[in-house]
Amino acid sequence: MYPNLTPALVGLLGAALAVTAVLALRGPLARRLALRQVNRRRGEAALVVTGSVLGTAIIVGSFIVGDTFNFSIKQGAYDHLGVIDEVVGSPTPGQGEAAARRLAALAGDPDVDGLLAVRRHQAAAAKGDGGGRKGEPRASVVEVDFAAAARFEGAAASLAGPAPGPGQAVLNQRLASSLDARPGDRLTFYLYGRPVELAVARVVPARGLAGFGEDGAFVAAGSLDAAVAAGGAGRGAGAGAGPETLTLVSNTGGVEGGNAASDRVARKLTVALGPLAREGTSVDKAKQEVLGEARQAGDELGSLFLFVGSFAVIAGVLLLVNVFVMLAEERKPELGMLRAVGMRRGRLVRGFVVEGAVYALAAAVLGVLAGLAVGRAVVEVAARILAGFSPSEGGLDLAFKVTPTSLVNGFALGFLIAFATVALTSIRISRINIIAAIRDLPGEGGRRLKRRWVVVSTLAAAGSGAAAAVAIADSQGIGT
Amino acid sequence: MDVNGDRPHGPLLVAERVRKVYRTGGVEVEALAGLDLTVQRGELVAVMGPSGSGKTTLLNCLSGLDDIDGGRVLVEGEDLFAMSDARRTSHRARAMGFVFQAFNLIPVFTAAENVELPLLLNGVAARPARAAAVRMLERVGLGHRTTHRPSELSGGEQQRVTIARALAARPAIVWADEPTGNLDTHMADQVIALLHELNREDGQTIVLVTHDQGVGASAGRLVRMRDGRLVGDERRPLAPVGG
Repeated sequence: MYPNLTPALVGLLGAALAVTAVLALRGPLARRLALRQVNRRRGEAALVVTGSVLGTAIIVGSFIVGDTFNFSIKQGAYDHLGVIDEVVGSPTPGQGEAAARRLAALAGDPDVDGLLAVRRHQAAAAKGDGGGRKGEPRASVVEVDFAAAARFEGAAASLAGPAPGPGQAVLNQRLASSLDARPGDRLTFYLYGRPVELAVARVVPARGLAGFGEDGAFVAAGSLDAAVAAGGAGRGAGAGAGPETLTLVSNTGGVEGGNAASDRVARKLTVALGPLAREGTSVDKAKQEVLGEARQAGDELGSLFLFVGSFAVIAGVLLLVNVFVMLAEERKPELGMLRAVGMRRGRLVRGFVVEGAVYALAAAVLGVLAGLAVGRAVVEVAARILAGFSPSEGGLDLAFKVTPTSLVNGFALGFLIAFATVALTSIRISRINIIAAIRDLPGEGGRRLKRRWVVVSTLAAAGSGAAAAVAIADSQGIGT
Repeated sequence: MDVNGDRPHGPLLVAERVRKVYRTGGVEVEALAGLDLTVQRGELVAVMGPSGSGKTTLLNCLSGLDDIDGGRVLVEGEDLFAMSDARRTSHRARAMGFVFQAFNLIPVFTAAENVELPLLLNGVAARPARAAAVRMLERVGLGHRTTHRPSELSGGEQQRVTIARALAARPAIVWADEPTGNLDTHMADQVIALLHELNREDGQTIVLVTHDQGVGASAGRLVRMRDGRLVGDERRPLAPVGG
C-alpha cells in the first residue's frame, strides 16, 4: 500500500542508516560500546526489540490487509468483467441497436480488441414448486451469440461450448447455487410478467462474460423474441420496460492491461456514437470504475486497520521509550563515569544511536515477519466473516496478498519510528547529572526534565501523527 | 604536567570563594561556604573532615563535575565555570583523572580498554592509546590482566585499573574520592602506596578525599574541613606508607 510514500520512506531509511553507518565508522569507541552493550544485556535488548516489533508488525499487518482487500476486490472485478472494459448502454432497445451498429465501425481500431452486442432482461427465476421451491428475484437473462462471445473472449472463453438450443439456458455458477440447479433441471423465468420455462443446458463458472450478468442465465440470441413480444415489451417500448441492448467492448491488452487504454477508447466510442451520445446512450468505463472502487476500498480498509492499530504502535513506542530509559538507568554509573572522564554528551548520544539502530534494524526485520503473520490472521478472520455474505450483500472472496511495496514501507516505517524514538530518548539520557549518575542517585531537576520531555514527545508524536495522516490521506495507493 | 611534559608556571588549581548550595524542597544547605584553596603542582593533598563537612562536594565542584553557586575555579589558569559544558568536558578529559570509591569501570570493556578510554576521548589514535594503556597497567602491576573484564578482577585490581585509567592521559591533576573505601586493609595499603609512588616518582598532583586518618597522615598536605569551610591546612614531609 501507499506506493507514493515509498520514495520518501526509503529516502529517510537510507539517511538514517547512512547516519548510523557514519557514526559507527567514525566513532570506533561509540561503536564498540554500543555493540558490546547489545551483546551483554540480551534480555533488555530482547525487550527493546519486542517493543519495536509490535509497532512494525501492526503497520505491516495493516498494509497487508489493505493489499489483500485491494487485490481481492480487483480480482473480483477481473472475474466479474473478464475482458470487458467498457459497456455502452442506451435508454431504449431501439437506440441500443442503433448504437451497436454505429460502434461496429470500431472493430478494426488498434485499441479495440472486440465488440459484442448482448440483450439483457431482468427476471425473477424459480425452481420447483411447493415447499421445495427455490427462487432468485434478481436474475438476468442474457441473449448472446455464443460463437461471437467465444471470439470476443478469446482462448479462455467463459461461455465456451455448444450454444443452448431453444428452451435451454446456460447458467452461471452463482445463479445455479442460488437455485440449487443442475444440468437438466427445468427453471421458470418471469419475463415481463410472463413465465418462460428454460432447461439448464450446463453450468459455467461466474467469471468473464459469464459473470457479467451476476446471477445470470445465458440463452442464444433471438431465442426470447417470442416471450418478449408476448409480454408486451417489444422493440420500441419505453425505457425500463424491455430488454437492454448493450455493447460490450474489450480493449487491446488482455484482462488487466486493457484497462490502461480505457479513457482513450471511451473517447473513441463517444465519437463513434455521434448524436446517440447526446440522446442518452452512454459509455461506462466499467472496469476502470470497479478497479478504482477496489483501490479505494483497499486503501480505506487498510487505513482503518492502521488507525485502530496505531494505538498498539503508540503503545509499542512508549514501551520502547520506557525500556530504553530503564536500560540507561541500569547503566547510569557507567554513563556518569564516561561523562566524568571526558565523553561529551554528543558522543554519548551517538553511542546510544548506534546501539538503538541495531535494535531498530533487528526489530524491523522481525516486525515484517510478525506483520506477515498478523496480516494473515486478520485476513483469515475477515475471510470467514465475509464468506457468510453474498456478493450483492458485500460478500467477497478474500485472497491473501502481499505486495513488496507494503513490506518496504512497513520495514522503513517500523525502523524509522524505533530509530527516532531511540534517538530522542538518547538525548534525554545524555542529560544526566554526572555526580548523581556515578553514585546511582536520582538526578536533580528530574521532575522538570520529565515534564519537558513529556511535552516535547507529545508534540513530536502529534506532529508525526498529523504528518502521517496527511500523507496517508493524500495517498492514492496506485499500483499497490 | 601536560601531555607534552611541559610544566607551566603558577599554581595548578586556584579556588576562590567557592559556594555550593543544595536545595531540597524549600530547604537550602550550604555545602561549600565561600571556600578558598590553592593546589601547587606535584602536591598530594588529602582532604579530611567529618561526614557532611563538604569533602566530596569540594572535589566534585573543583573538578567541574558539579556546578557551583558562587566564586570561581581556575585549573591551569582556565576558569572551569566560564566554559561551555562541551569545553569543560574536553578540559576534564585532557587535564583531570578520577578515582572513585565504587571503581566505576565500564563492565563491557577489558582492563586495557577501560584504561585507554581517556586517551581515545582525547583524540589519541587507537594503536598508541592501547600501547600507553598497557604500559600504565604494567605500571600499576596489572600487565598480566590487560584482557580481563572488571568482573574477572578483584576489588583491589579494579581500583588499580581505575588509577591506571585516571593517569593514562597524564592529566594535570587526579581526583580521588575515598579510593580505599571499598577495599580491605591490605588492598587499601597497596592502592595508597601506588598513589604515593606516582606522586613521588612522576610528580603527579593528586587530591584525595578520605576519612582514613592513616591515609590523611601519610599525605604531604592535609586539608581539614568542617561545615563547608577549610578549618586546617598542614604541610609536612611525606610519611612512609604500607605496601
